[in-house]
Amino acid sequence: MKRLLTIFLLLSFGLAYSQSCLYSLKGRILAENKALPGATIFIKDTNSSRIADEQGNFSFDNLCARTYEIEIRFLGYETITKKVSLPQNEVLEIELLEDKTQLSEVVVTGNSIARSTTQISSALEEEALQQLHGKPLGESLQRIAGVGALQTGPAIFKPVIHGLHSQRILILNNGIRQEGQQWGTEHAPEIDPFVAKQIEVIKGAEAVRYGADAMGGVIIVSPPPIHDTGGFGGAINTSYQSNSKTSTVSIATEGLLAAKNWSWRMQASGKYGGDYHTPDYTLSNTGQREVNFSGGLGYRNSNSELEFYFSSFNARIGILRAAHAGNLTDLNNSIISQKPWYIKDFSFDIENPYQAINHHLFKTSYKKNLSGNNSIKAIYGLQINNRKEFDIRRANRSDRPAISMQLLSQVFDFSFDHLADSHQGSYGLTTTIKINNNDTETTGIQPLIPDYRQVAAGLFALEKIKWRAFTFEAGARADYQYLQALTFINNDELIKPDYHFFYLSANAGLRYTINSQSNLSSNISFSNRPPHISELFSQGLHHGTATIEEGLLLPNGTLEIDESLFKNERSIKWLNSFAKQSKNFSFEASVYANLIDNYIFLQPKETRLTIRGYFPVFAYKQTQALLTGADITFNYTFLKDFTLTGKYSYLYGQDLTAQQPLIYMPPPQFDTELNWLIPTLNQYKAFLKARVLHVTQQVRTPITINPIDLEGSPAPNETFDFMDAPNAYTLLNIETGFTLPINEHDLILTLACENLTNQRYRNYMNRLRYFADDIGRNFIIRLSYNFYSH
Amino acid sequence: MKMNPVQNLSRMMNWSKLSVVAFAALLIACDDDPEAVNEEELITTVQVDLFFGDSDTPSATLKFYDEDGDGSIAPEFTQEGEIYTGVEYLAVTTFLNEEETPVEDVTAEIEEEQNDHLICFTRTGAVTSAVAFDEDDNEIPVGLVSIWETSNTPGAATVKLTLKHQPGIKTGSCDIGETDIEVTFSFDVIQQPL
Repeated sequence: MKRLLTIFLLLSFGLAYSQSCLYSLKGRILAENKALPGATIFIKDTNSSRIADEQGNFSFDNLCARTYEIEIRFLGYETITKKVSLPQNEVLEIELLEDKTQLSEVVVTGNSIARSTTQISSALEEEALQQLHGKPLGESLQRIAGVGALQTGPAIFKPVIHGLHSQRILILNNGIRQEGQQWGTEHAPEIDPFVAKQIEVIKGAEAVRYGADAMGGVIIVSPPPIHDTGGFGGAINTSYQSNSKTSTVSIATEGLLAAKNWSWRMQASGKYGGDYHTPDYTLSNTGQREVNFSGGLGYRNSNSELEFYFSSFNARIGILRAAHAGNLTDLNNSIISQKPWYIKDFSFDIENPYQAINHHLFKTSYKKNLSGNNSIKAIYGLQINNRKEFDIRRANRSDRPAISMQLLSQVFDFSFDHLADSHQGSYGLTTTIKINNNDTETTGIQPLIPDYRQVAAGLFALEKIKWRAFTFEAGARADYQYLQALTFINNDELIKPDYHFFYLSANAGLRYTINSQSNLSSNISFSNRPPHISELFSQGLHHGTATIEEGLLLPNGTLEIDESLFKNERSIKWLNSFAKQSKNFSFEASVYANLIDNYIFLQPKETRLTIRGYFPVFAYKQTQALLTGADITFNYTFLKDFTLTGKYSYLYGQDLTAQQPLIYMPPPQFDTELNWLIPTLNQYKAFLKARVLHVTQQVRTPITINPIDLEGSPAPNETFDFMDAPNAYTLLNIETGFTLPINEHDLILTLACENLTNQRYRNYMNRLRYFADDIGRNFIIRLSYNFYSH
Repeated sequence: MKMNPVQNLSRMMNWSKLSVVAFAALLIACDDDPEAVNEEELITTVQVDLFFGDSDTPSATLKFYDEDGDGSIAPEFTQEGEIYTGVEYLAVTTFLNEEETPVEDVTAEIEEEQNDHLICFTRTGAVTSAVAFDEDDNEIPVGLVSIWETSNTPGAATVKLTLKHQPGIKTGSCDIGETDIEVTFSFDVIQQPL
C-alpha cells in the first residue's frame, strides 16, 4: 500500500501542463435591477452550464483566454446570447427581460457525471446550512423530506433515509467513504458539519456507485472545492443557543500560494455546551464538547488536479444520567415515573456515562483530464476511528472506558469518466481494508463486537444515454468481501472464523422531460449486502434500553460458526418522481417501494434471568421487509416577498413474514415554512420566517409490553416495544435575520427560537423517550462573517 | 479446454479469493492476536449466610450462581441448611467472582465504596422483615449485614436482594442509581424440629 502511494505521489508531482486555461467567467443575472436566481447560463463551446444562485451569481472556472458565446435562459424571460472575452475586466451583469409572448423550452445540460439523473437527491445549500450552524449533522439532515434521525438524546442523531440507517447508509465525506463505527444505534456520524458547503442526500439505492453500504441512500458532505479559491479569504461562524448554553465557533481561511496553481484551506471549529432542558427539568449530563480541524492543499493546472486533505473530529458527548438502566426493573421505573430519576441543576460538566470519539482522516486525490472529455481519478484515504464509551463502574474503574475500539481503514478508489454529447459514463474500482481492534486490556469487559479484519473490492460500470426527451441510465457492480473475526469461545479459546462474500448490484433508470417545466423519472435498483460484523457477532448488554443483543451466529446464545445461519440482504428499490419548476412554483413528489429479502433486524427472543436481574434478549433475525412511502416538497412564492415551503413525508414499514409493522420507522411528518423577505429592508436581505413542524403519532407500531411484565415470563415471539409511541406534537419555530455588507463582505446575523411554545413532547425516534421529554424552548443567535474573495 | 461463463466466473472468483486471502494474510500477519478478556467487574455469585444466636457458622446459606453474567448459561440457585420459623437471623451478604482463581471476593470493593452502594431487601411470605443493619459514613444503610425475621407459622417466602450503585447520589432510596445485582431467593420457612 505504502509503495503504491509513493508511486502515485511521484506520478502526480511529475506531471506537466501545457496551456493556461485557468480563467474564470463570473457574472450576475438581474431582472428589473434585482437579483434573479435560477436562470441557466450555458457556454456553447464547452457544453457546460450553471444555474444562477440565490443572489443571481454564477461562475465558470477552467476557461481559456479567448471569446466564448454564452446563452442565458430562464423561463418567462427572453433568452439572451452574449459574447464574452476572457480574461474579464469586471463581473458581467446581465439583465433579463420578461418574455410576454410565450414560455420557451429550457434545456438543462451538464449533469455531473458521477451523479445519477434518475435518482432523487436533495441538498442543503450554503444558506440553509448557515441557518443550521451549531447543529449536529444528523439533525440538520432532517430538513430534507424523507430523511429522519434515530436519536439518543439531544446531541446524538443518526440519519435515517426512507426508514434505513446504520450500515445501510453511506456517508461520503469529501469524496471518501466514511468508515466509522456506524453499527450502533447510539453512534452518530463522526463528521463536523462546519466543513460542508453543501450536504446532499441521494435517497435511492446507490449501491452500484458506492457499494453495499449505499443500499439505503448516500449522504454527500462536500466542502467547497479547494480550487475555487480566488485569493485570501475566509469565514467566521459563531452560534450560541440558550437551551444547553452551547457555543460554537468555526473559522475557515483559504488562499493561493505564491505558485498560483496551488491553493490551500484551513478550518477549525469548537463546541462547548452543558445540560439541555425540557420545559420542566434539566436533562442532566447531556453536555458536549467538540474540537475539530481540517486542512487542504490543492494543485491544479489545465488538465489535472491534485488534492491533499486531512480532518480531525474529536467529540465528548454526555449521555443522560438517568438513561442508564441496570435492568428491566430500572427501565420499568423510568417509564412509570415519566421523569428522569436523576435531575440536578444545570451544569457544563460531563460525567459518566459519556462517549469520547476521535475520527481522523487523511485523503489524497488526483484527477487527470484525458483527451476528449474523458478523465481519470484516483483517491486514497486513511481513516482512524477511536470510540470510547465510559460507563458507571465500580472501584474507580469509571475513568476506564467500558468500550474502547479502534478502527483503522484504508480506501483506494480509481475511476474513469467519459463524457460526450449523447452519452456519458463512469467505470471504477473501489477497495477497502479495515482492521478493528478492541482494547479489552483497558476495559476489562468483553467487547460487544469482536476484533475483525476486512478486505473488500468492487468493480462498477455506469452509462447514461440521452435521446430526445429521454435520459436512460444503467449500471452494474460486482463486489467481493473477505471478513475474518477474531473471537473467543467461552472467553477462553481464540477462534478466527472467516467468510467470503461475493455479491452483485445493478440499477436502471429513465428520465423523461415532459416539457420545459416538468420531468418524470423512474429508477429501479437491486442491491446486495452481506451482514455486518455486528449483525453476525454482537453479544452483550446495551444499557440504554436494558437489552441483551445477540448476532445471527449466536442462535442459542453461544457462538456457532455456521455459514448457513445467515444470508445476504437483498433489496429491490423502485423510486419514481415527478418534478415541476416554474418561476414562482416548484414541486417534487416521489413515491418509492423497497422490498428487502433477508432484512436483518432485532427480534425479541427470550427473557433472561441473570445475576443482575431480568433482561430481554434481542436476537438478530432475517425476514422479508417492505418499506414504501412518499415524499413531497414544494416551494411557492406569492405576493413577491412571501415563500411557502412544504416538506411532507410518509413511510410504511412492514415485516411481510410476520405481518407486523417494523419498529422505529419515522412517523408521518409535515414541515411547513413561511418566509417573508422584508421589502423595505431589501438591501439587508432581511427575512422573517415561521416554521411549523407537525409530527404525527406513529400508529404502525409493534405491540407494547411493560418491562415488568417480562420478568419471569418468556418473551413474546413477536417484536414489541416497551412503551406506546408518543403522542403527535407540533413545534413552532421562528427566525429572523439580515445581512450587513461590511467592506464588500457579508455579516449575517440570525436570531431563532425553536419550540417557541415550550411544548412538552417525546419523539418516537428518540431512544431516550423511555426516560425523559424532549428539549424545551431554545433561543439561538448566529453570527457569520465571510470575507471570501470569490 | 473450453469453459462456460459460470466456470469462468468461479475460476475468476477463486483467483480473486486467493489473492485477497494472500493479501489479507499479509496484513493480518503483522497484527497481534487478541487476548481473552479478564472480566474484572464480573460478579458470579451472591451468597447470603444466615446466622442465628452467637454461632460462628451459618445455620443456612442461600446462594445464587451465574457463571457468565449476561450470557446464555442459566443461573443456579442453591440452599444449604434450613430456615426456621420465629427466628431473627443476622444475614451477611457476600459477592464473589468465581471465574477468577483464586475466587475473588467483590464484597471488599463494595465495602470500600459503601457510600455509593445500597443493598435493598423486598420480602414476601414467611419472612416478615428484612432490613439493613449496617450504615455507611453518612449514617445511611448499606445492607451488607441485615436482619431477617421469620414468621411464627411456616410457609414459603421470597427475599429480593437488590444492589444499587449510586455514586455521589446515595440518599437511602432504592429508586435511584443503577441496579448491579437483582436476585430473588425463594425458600421455605419450616418449623424447627423439637
